[in-house]
Amino acid sequence: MSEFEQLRGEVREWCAATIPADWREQQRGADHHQYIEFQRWWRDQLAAAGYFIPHWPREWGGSAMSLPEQVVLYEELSRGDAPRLGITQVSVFNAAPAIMHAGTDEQKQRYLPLIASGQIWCQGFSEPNAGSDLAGLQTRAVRDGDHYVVNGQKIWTSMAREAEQCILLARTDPDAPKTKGISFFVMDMRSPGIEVRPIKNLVGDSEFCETFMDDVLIPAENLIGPENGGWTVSQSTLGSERAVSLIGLAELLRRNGRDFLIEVAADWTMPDGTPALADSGVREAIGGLYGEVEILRLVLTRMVTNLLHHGGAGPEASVVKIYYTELLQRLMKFASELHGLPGQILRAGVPSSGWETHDFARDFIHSYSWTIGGGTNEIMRNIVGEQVLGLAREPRPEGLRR
Amino acid sequence: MNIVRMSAGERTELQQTSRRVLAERAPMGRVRELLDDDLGHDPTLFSALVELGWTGMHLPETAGGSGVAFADTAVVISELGRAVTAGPLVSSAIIAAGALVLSASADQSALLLPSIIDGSVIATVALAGQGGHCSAASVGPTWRPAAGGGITIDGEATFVLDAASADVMVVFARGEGGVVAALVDRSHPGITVTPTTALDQTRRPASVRFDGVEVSASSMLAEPRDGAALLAAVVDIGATATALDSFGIAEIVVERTAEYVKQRFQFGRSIGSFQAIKHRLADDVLLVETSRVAVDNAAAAVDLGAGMSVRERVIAVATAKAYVCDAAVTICGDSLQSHGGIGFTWEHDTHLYFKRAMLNQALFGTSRWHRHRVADEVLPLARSSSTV
Repeated sequence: MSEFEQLRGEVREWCAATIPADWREQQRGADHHQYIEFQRWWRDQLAAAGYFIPHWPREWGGSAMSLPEQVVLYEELSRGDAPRLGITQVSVFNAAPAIMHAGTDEQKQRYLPLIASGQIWCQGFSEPNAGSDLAGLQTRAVRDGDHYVVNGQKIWTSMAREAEQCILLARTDPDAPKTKGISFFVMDMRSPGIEVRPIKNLVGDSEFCETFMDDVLIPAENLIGPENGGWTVSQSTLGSERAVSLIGLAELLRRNGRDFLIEVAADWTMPDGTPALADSGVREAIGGLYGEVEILRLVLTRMVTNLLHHGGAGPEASVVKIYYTELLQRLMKFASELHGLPGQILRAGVPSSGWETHDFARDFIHSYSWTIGGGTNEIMRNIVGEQVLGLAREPRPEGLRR
Repeated sequence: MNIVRMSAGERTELQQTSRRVLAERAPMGRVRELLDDDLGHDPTLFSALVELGWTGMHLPETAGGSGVAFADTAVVISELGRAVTAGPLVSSAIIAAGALVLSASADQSALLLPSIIDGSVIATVALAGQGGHCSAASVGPTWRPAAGGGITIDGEATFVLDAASADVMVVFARGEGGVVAALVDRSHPGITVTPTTALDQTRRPASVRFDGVEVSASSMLAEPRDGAALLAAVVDIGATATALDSFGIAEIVVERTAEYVKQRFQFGRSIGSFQAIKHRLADDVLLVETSRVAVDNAAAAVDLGAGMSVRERVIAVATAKAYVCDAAVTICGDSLQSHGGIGFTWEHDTHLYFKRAMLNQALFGTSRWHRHRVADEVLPLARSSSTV
């Protein structure tokens, strides 16, 4: 363990020297432009320290960190109250794994250095009529000589305004069964025919967008994997996104959720003026939640160990996704209810903080982005039921079968 | 103490062996025969488990045990829950023997452990009072000083597991100076054992009355200065064993329910294809997987001589006890609901699991109490009344 302890010490020291202690207050109320500027600054700091793409091999500019080392890194970043790096989430955790896994050598040479340099990418998967039923997507890509001509509409394309590239799922064979007619492309966001409209979310931020494509030309060389083989390529990116991005979340929930609650609630009172933390019901609830956060740490550790010994995270990642997101939701709901009216006062958000703005009511509402995004928890439950227990799939109505 | 740790492969092998032995020697048919049996367990099974070394697995090699880590022994305890096996193995070889190892009395420990390991002596622990609570303030029996440095015990301990089968009891008693523990023969004059018929008929608890029971100084396991700490440590072993038992139940009930909903057809399709059923089972899988890490963590925390701080141990054990025992009851209820009418019959095994999970939830401290124990460790303004 001593080599990990050395890394732990290094990261801890780096965090103390690099992360401004008051970054949350500085960023509170930041507009979109200020948010992006701060994110770029933070990305550059991480890159200079070798923490931006820690899991990548050295030949592509990574730090070749093992999984246990990544765990240490993400734990220490969380412990050091690091901002969340949102702008390169798609490029690093979704695009890169797909390209490394299914791309040609030429494609790797072309794209991986761009990602390593910090380029912002977005993800064009979901559509207004293809959410949980992602395979029902209708954006069309038609081969025309050296190009594909793309028409359609994508939604929830986070960072689409800043992104230089988009990983795009489009239908290349409308007659094949749903998952067999989809291809995976890299689309240059500066291509003519792309229009991006921001969507204001329920807490007032506009990180995600709608993206419209009108006769957009994508060079055929941007096809990742075989034509009509895009579904498989996309599944590999969802798997790794879930597995790696979950590392460190336990530490975040412990530090910015549970322990922060215990700290601030020390001043809260009950209607009779007694301290809230002396109330028997409150104590019991916190005792339970405290343990559940510990269990999250244990279950993530186990998942990482399994990843290490058996490769893929498999359906276990779905179990962890449900548990983490719903525990986050329970904890925020409890904290918000306990805080009562003072917790209802609107303060400006902290865009680089993810859910942990330290305003429990806002964070409770925001927590639904976790139970909906990354595959809704209902879809996760289908995966657990069907892939872990082997239960039969829900029959599809005849008329809708493609 | 030298602790032997198994490799992952050895642990899997131990689990498979345990499962096979219990399937052969204590199948469901046999479990059912014993429900109304006077003794309540099968002595030939107990002897067979002694032969396999299960009674000495985690006990010191110096006493004739195998010195295996509790975390590994845990596998066997879960299998006993999974098979809803009746018998005093856990109350004697795990909990009472654990109390002896942890007690200040090396003499008593050296004297008795070999007999517990070879099965010639069955031991149990008596501590709970009215209400079945396990805190220091709730200890049932009381003590007063007697001549020669000994004590006199009065009062009643409730829900003493396997008291009717036991030869000796580790008795906790509360008095002026604090909590003490002593080793008492069950046949000692002044002791009356009255069986308590529990809803869970795979278990045999009893009330044990003490009327002026004289205990000599040499039989003392803990003096007032360290009795409460020993009580907490023994409760934590009992709570961990109980959580492991519930984990075994949770795991098999999910497996059996999944099998049932695959083969049960209604509306022309297996009922497991309905999301109302599928999603509930997915939630139960989540409970099993999170319970698995929680019990592993608790088992590591109560390793005899693990050297973990009391705070860490209490958080690990209390979390597992509350979370896992609650999970098992939820899973049994979900299973009954998914089985429908057939699950509501005596013939179906659902009730055997359900009742055992319910008893487990209340044994060695309720979930509510354990959550308070965690709170008392982590929150300011600790409430002394809920602390052990």
